[in-house]
Amino acid sequence: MSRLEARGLTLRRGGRPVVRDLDLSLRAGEVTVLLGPNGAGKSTLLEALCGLLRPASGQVLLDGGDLAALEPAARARRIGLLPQTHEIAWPLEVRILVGLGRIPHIGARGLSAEDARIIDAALAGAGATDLAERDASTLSGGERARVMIARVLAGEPEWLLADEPLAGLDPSYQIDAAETLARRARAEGCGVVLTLHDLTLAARIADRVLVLGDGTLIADGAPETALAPDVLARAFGVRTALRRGTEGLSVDVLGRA
Amino acid sequence: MSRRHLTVLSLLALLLAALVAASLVTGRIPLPLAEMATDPSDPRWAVLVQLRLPRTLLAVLIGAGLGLSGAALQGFTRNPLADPGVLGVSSAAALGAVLTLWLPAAAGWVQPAAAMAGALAGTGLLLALAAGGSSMTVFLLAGVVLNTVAGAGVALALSLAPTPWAVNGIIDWLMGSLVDRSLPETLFAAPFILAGLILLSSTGRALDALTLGETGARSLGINLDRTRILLAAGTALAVGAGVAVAGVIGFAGLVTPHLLRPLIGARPGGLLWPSALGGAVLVLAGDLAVRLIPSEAEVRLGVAMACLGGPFFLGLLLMLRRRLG
Repeated sequence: MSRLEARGLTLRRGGRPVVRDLDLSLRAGEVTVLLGPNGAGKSTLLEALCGLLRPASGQVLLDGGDLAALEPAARARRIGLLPQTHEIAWPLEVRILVGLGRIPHIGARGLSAEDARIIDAALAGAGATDLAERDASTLSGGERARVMIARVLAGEPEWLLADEPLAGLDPSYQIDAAETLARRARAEGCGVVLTLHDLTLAARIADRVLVLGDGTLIADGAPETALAPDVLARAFGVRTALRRGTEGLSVDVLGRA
Repeated sequence: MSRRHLTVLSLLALLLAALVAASLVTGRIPLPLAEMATDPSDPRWAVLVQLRLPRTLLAVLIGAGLGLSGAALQGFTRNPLADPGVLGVSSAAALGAVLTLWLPAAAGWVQPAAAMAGALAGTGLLLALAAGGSSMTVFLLAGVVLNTVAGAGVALALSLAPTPWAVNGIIDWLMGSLVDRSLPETLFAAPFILAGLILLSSTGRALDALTLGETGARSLGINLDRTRILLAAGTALAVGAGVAVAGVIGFAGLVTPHLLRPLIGARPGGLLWPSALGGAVLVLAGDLAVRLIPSEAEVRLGVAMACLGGPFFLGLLLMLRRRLG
């Protein structure tokens, strides 16, 4: 199983330290959810974990090798990132947009029949098949989010890092997309790392929850332990209740701590 | 490549071929090729080879350079306003060429080299500004300022011109023209423009990926520093060499990608070669038009392109504004 690790990782953004001396070992085959208040450094950490942000100190290791030493195209074939801002600069047909996810694999050649099959599967996985012929510039926020999930799925990365992939989705699509991502991890052995804001969604989807606060890890473990009220009080400054129902865990936010 | 893509490319190639043929026989001296073919010593062959041929070749090369660099700059900046003219690259090239008028008896290659250096300085400055996530507003503002400053520099050179001959030369650069360019001049510029076209066309994948923004493109394994260098060097060669020979010709770079997007889609990499062909068609058509407009002295191509291109582009914007909105 592939491993993605951070060793003594310190990250700066605009000169300001955002993540400090962080050690972390992620395992493929599970869904890791990264939580933390606004500005805690979640997006910055994701960017560093996929090799786009050079660490101020420390390193990111992919299967024991320094990620910074990997060729960009080789890195992109193994680690896919879905950024938080769903920028789509041109009015492309959705299928063409999703096909951009194949770029690390195709180099200068065109898309093959096999690529087309993968793109269709990605569209289906993100519940975006019905959007395939649409002009991407006419999509609503939620439709755009589904298409962007399809885009990152189309790269078939071993590691799929997604920044708020479920924000703005209708509940039914949230469930579908969460299931697709979980299946990638548990059935296909992909490493899935997500940032989320919805605590209950995190509790339901995650195998492992990391809570980031003030540049360090406050908690790291199974949802039951990492989403405990004392952790969330420290991270977010809110009183919460962690409940276990027949449908799984849920987190109720009761008020300020 | 889709079938539609191929169809549009073939149609553009056919149109260009027809315009090339028309350009070779159109002008003050009519060239009835059928009649000339019977007599190889006909003096009109000299008109064909020494005047019409370089003029036609130059129009095609310069147009291709403008179209391709416009498409590449628009793709890179993700902004439909980008183009070597709007961003001041052409003016910077003209300023580079004009400044060599102060050099005592410079060798023939100095002026084109200075034009390319001016274009390179201009694009380099702009693309350096576009690096590091500064907004595209900053980029466009910088381009507008570069255009103004380089334009003012040329105007200043005009008022300080060392000789009346230099004044004429400077006006040539300000208002591009393809009249009386020699075959050696054309053959000198051609390899530079072609090299620029090749460099620019190699950025296609990166431009496609940039549809997803800089972070998205980098996550797909695109090396944006490399893209930036290819773009700066390619634009400097393609536009700089063109300006060195023919002066500033506007609009083709800006308009061509806009004309093609409704036909073949907006994928930036897919627009590159069609824009090269489209730019060549536009500039050659413009140059044919200035030859056909009945006037005492020929209307300058740069002026004609702006006069015809401007209102045309405004009309296009009105049609497309909902799409662009």
